[in-house]
Amino acid sequence: MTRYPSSKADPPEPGHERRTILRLAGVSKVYRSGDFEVTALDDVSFHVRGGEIVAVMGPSGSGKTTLLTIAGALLRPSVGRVHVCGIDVSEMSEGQLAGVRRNKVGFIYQSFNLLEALSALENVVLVAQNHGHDKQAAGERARDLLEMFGLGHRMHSLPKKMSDGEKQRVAIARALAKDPELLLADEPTANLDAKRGHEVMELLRQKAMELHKAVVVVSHDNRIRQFADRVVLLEDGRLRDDDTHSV
Amino acid sequence: MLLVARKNLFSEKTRLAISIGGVALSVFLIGILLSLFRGWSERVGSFVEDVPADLWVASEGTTDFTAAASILPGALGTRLELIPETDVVAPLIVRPMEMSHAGNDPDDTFDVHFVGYDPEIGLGGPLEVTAGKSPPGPGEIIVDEQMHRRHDVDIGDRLVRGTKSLTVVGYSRGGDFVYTQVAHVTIETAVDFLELDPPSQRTFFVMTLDDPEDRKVFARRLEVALPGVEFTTGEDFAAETRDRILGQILPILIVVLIVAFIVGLAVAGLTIYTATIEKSREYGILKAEGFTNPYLYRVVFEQSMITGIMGFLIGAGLTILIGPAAQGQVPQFVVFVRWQDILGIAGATLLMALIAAYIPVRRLTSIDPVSVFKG
Repeated sequence: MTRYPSSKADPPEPGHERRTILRLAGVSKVYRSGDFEVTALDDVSFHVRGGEIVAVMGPSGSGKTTLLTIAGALLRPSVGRVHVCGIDVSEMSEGQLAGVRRNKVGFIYQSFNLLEALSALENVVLVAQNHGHDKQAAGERARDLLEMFGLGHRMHSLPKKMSDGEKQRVAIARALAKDPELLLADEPTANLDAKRGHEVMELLRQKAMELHKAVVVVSHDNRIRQFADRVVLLEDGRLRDDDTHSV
Repeated sequence: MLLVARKNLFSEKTRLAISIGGVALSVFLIGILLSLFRGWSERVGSFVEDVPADLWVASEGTTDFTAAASILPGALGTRLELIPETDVVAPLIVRPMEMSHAGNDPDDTFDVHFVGYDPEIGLGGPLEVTAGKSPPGPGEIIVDEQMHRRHDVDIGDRLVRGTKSLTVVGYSRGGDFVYTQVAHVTIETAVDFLELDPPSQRTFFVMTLDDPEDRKVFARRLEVALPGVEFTTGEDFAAETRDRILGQILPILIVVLIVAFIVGLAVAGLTIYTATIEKSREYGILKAEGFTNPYLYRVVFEQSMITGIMGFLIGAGLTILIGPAAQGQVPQFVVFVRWQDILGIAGATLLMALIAAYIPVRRLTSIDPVSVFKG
């Protein structure tokens, strides 16, 4: 098995990264179906600051994805408050939540979730334009990001012509295209082999630190720990531990 | 145009072709049917419209040329001539009938709209003689050139009905009613051929007036003065003739037009709907990335509109090209493509595209962006 190297970020520059980007306070999420109730999250509180990578770990069904979608303004909590960049998103309308996602949150998915009909460049441009960049500025930003991730030669390739590692790098570039303050990654290495997984996590860590992003990585892969500043353990919807990686 | 709409649409070329093909077929069918209707409308009324008569005179209850159930006394013509406002009065004997070629199977008949006219007056006679001699002499007949084309009736042929026969001496133009054509003989030949008893009876009189502007008022006055006789203006008589023929096929035509519209709508709607369902996950991704529902609606509407526009262009092009070409092969296939109809079909296609996008758009609303985190 490939061992991931421990690769912590350099000490943060003053003034940037210490601001709290994500805060969950007493968050619970209950799904109801008829007479049945399932508690996916139970009184969860935690926060992430700029320039910090937090790994949320736990077994399948522990509530990791629910936590991620609530943090990403996709779901509203049943109870508790969620603040993204200081904005309370707990009771926002669908349209307002979409606005928060459009400007504040970048997602990196397990299965990359690139639009199949669009080239790598177009996938990134699309998101940059939706953030508010005009066509030219969006194109320049997308090119810069893809170059930054070593994909200058793959800009016009369709996702089906790319390796999984390349797809995930495009996905990270897309997540950064809107210059979000919060990056949320859902099992980003699950569909990659060990070597590609390591490359992607190293790249994510490096860029997040350089750009002072707050990063939450949800995974059940223990190798992720080595890239995190802090690890949060989730079990049956409850935070169980804040382990030795705490800073 | 949105990048996603264009890319999604053109990345699935087979589906796009099916969708455009369905709309094009629908547009073509609607276009051809409308053009056929217009063509028939033009053709079936044109003879009556082109006869330069201000008034058509018939017995009460007859308001069009094809029914021709009118019987009028010949003396009526003399009375009409005595009216000071009258310019010209011409008698017509009109009878729809079946005839056959002499020497052919007597059952191998074709429809003829037999018209006896007074060659000295000319009104109600052949509109334009394109070949042969005019006027016809005793025992002679001038047939419409469409009869010549469709039924191989040539100059010199003899046309038979019962024990009587007539010799074809010329072709005329402008007397095609699609399902039948006019053929002209003199009044005397008509009386003899039809064995009219009394021989003075007439079917119609056609009149011109010194002041045609007042023809409607004049017609009402004459109807009061001559009970049992109907006076109809030339344009009304032509319109009634058209309605008599086209009124029979119009309801059928409307049903077929609706079916064609539904077929186009169903094909476009189903392909756009299945494309939306297949791309549900991608729409979910867009939602997760902060794209709003109106943006996604626009994607689907644009796809539907592009499909509609391309289908319309192909369908309208086929109508314009194939319609006249088919008319060259099948004489009964009389088409008249009007730009107003093409514009109307463009509107119908737009409506088709809007409706086709409606159900997929509703589906978009229910896509949960959280679903993109599964698998």
